[in-house]
Amino acid sequence: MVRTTTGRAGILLLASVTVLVVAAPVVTAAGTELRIGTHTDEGPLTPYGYTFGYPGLQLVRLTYDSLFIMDRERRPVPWLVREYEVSEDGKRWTLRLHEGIKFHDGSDLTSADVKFTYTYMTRHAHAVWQRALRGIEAIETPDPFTVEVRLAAPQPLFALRPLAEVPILPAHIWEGVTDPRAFTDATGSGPYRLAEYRPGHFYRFEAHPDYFHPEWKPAVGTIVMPIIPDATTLFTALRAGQVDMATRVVPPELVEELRQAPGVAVQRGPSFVSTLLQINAEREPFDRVEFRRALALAVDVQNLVDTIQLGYATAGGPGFVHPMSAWLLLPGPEAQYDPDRARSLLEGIGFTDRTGDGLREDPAGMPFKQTILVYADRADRVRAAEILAEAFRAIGLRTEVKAMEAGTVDSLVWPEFDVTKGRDYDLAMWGWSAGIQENPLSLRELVHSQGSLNIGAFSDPEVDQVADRLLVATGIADFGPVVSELARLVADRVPFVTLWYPDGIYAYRPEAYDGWVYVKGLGILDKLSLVTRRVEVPEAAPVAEPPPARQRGWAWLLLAAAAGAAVVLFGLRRARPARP
Amino acid sequence: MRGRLGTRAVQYGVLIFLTVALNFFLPRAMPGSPLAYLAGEDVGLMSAEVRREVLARHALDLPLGTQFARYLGNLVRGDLGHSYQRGRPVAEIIAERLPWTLLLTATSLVLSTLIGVALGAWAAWRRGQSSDLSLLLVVMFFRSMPSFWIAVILVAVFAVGLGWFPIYGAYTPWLVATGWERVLNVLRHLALPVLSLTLIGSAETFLVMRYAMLDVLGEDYIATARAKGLSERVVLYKHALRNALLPVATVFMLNLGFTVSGATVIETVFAYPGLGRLMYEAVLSRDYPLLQASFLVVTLAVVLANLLADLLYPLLDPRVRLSDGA
Amino acid sequence: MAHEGVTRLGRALKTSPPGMLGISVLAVLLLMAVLAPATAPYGPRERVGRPFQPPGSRHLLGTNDVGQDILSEVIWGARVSLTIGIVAALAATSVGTVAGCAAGYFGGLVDGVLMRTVDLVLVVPFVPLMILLAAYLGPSLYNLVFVIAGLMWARPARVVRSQVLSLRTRLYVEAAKAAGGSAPHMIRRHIVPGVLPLVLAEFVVCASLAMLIEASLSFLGLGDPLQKSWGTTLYYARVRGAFLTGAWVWWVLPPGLLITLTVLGFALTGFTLEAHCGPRLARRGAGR
Repeated sequence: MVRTTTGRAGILLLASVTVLVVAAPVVTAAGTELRIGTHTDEGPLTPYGYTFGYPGLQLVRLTYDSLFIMDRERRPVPWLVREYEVSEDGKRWTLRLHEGIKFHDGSDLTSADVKFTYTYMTRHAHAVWQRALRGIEAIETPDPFTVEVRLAAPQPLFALRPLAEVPILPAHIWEGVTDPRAFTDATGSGPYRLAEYRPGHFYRFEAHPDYFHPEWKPAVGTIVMPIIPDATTLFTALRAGQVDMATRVVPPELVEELRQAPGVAVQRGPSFVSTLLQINAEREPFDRVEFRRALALAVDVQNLVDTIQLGYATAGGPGFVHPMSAWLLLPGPEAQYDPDRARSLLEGIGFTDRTGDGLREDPAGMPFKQTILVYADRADRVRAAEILAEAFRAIGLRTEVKAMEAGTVDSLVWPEFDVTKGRDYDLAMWGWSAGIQENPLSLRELVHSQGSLNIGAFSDPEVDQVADRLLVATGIADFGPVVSELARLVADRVPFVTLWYPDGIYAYRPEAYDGWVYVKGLGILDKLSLVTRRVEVPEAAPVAEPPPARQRGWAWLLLAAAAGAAVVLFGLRRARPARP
Repeated sequence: MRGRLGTRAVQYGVLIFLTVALNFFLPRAMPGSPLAYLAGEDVGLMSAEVRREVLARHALDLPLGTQFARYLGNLVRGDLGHSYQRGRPVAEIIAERLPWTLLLTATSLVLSTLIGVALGAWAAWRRGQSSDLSLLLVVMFFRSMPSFWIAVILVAVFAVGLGWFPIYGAYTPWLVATGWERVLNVLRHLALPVLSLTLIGSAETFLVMRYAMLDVLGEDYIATARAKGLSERVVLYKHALRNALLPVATVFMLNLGFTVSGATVIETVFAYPGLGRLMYEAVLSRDYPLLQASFLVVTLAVVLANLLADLLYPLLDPRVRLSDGA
Repeated sequence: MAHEGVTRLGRALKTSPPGMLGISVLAVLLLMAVLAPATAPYGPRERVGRPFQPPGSRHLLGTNDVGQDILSEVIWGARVSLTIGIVAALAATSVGTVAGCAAGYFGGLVDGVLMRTVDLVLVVPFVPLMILLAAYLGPSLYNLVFVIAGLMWARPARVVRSQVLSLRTRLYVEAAKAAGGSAPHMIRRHIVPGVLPLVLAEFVVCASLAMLIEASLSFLGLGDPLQKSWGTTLYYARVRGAFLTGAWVWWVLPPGLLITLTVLGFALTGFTLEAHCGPRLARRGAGR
């Protein structure tokens, strides 16, 4: 019996020592690092290796520079380029680079690198870069700091795409790389150098000490980006001071919570991301404009914004174009909610309720049912789909929601991401990234009958005609009227129902770093947020203090309760007489 | 003897081939396309030539049969291919994640087995008494909680509330320490995920151990041993425990095989760089080469562990003879 | 014979307080599921209030992210969750037991084929299979049960087999075999009673596992979020931030505790049954 007790005591002692050693309070290394919790692993951060536009491409832009940059209002302004001229006919761009631009390995960035990059990217397949560089006839480099680009036709958006879009590669590193997807060296000229990448774990960036820009310098010495896929963990870490910023958009229900959390600040702004109800305009009865109009009239977009987004969104304009878009000259058309008119439209095309069960039959008298497809992992969209189904039932349309894994939905709505491969759906919850709003030419791809993003096979000669006018624009000023006209037409013909544009809401700890700027339509994770108008590399503010001890009281209580329970259990057992 | 080994070799050969085929065809049978990850985000804007070029580069334009033949050929040469999404050799990616995965899953497997065996034996010994019942309830209580729930609670109490442990990651990225300090840092990151997995994992071993022990304790020789006046401790550990080990060893070896596949949910919650999360992401992005290879690794580990279990049985219990017809 | 067995089991449960408790917990949960239309204050999909309401007199557990009554959701959710837990576990343990007994008892080729099948089933990539089946059969409760059971039987099969291997060496089994007992007789008389406690253990594990798999699938975004189950309620609670706000008390705890309660109910019932069902065990146990 004595031996037993010693044995037990020994184990207890060992266990408590282990706990004490391992569980000593976490010492947050008070360094100069800024800790940005990011929600996805974006792969190797080369222009060919990143995965998503957000946050991947934003991180690529930290390590690489482009000739132009998008300012806070998302207008292209010169960056690597010091000054530039455009010829009278708009076909020749002469770009003069800053002098003394250094890549992270110390070599110079010259016009030869620009020419190499633009040539390399037209030859090596990548959906974004290759398309951006279309229409370039020739590139000349009369001296190391001058680039002359000759275009086949004037491109009024040339500064936006490709100049502000295409990152410049170091020629001496990328020469001879035949498979850019399998190449992982991320040496660039950007304000930060990718110092370490542990897939699935973290990225570490170091400030580029010789950053070329005369005014703008890296704002922070070290940026560490732990990859934290789970939203709960990410925001818990932010609140507990274990990360200083979260790249994930704050979900509406957490905004107030985080605003009130000590040491946490929240920035909110418009985002050009869109959420839509996509319609398969190829399939009966969705090919009838009256039917599509009825669907649009049955939807109360403001109610969706209030219910799903708790008001943190802009209600969708039926013309798709975001009301704050720089391209929209006139105020866009307003969404209308009018179920009665929807009902009469349906009656008008023969959708009536003959059986008296409250649900309409199609003109041939057969029962009608439509299905809304939605990504199963997007809770907000699943909820929206449920509400939409309710709204459609209210105008007498039997509607079913089908939630499936994202890849499966894609394969039905947009097989192989090629609109010529057909489609198999009625309605689908869909969304486009911010970039679509930024380039008016993308709008054409969306609604033109030949457009490569026209995933509903929508076709309307009048829309085609207006959309084609975007192609022949010769100056920036030409786009405004066409975009406004197109938005009006889209609202009338309903290729899809634009539901809402979610707000961009981002949370961070200002005591760690407070230089965040909200870039319109995009958010605060941007190169502009992480460069500062100073000359020397400053020390970042010290890391947040651990949360005050007061907050820990409840956890101790819980522990004590658990310990108490154990003692009681143990004691009870002891109190019993030994077995016969 | 040779004949029996031969049959077994044939059995395992067929099994491995079937799983390799399954691992090849199942991912490709899923609807969806890896193109979005092969060509970048604006995949829809690709021209037809670019599309063809991308497909051809990854041999995705060939008939499935040809692709399979190529895959087998590469496999024989030991070439697992490049990941679509990450652009790096698959073998490299898996090798990088495997140590972290094993650190997490194997540690908790060992811990949960030890706890399960000890508590299970004790509960069986005290069969029908209140301590038996309360142990059962406590163990099942943890088993019944969804794993992400346990994880979130542990984070709330030990990481946020008490501040003892970090919330995420496998080690502190900005730590420049070496030696013991680094080991300690890794251990500290490991503590909560391991604790979650151990709390969840102990139940099966506990239950199997308890029931197997009950069965053994009913045997005559145990009664004999007791009657001979051997101490309870000797009877319990020398006789009963040993005879109840077979089912426990089976459970252990089953789980041992699966340590390789990681723990997706726990890895997700604690942002731990393991294979579970990797495989899950590979499924979503339709990263066929990465999928095939990681499934293959899991297959080999599980089959090997089960084979090992079969070979271990006679060692654990000399009376067990396998493969002789009854 | 069977009737007598049932009576004895019934008596065993009645005389044991833990057993009574376990059975009553399960009975209450089952009743709740069956009588959901009567006991739930609202329909599970009805939007009856503002979203994110805390508990109040109209909504005892508050409302969820679209204004559905959480109490009603949880009561209706019992149907799906209990179905998955019970049906999948029953199917998996019975198939597993049969396969395990056959493999362990007959050995040789039967053992080889069965165990290699088990190996194959064990390593079938679960997530792709789920996606594939959901795509071709449509997301549904039955598919989920089918897949979970179809993959889960392999574990009990291996565990039961190992126990049979061990049983086969015991003296009384050897003796009975030597006395010329036929295989079905031997299995029924000596093997089944010997593995029954283990099967009960596996059943409890499988039932909790099945319910948890359903919850985990939702966690990973692979479940059917339109199905009203405890797992999906937890899923929405998590993705809509309930773990980070005070809402976890009324949104996360109830479905979580119900899963726990179900599992504990099974465990208690199993605990009592095990003490009385194996006749050999009971007799020997009594003789201690």
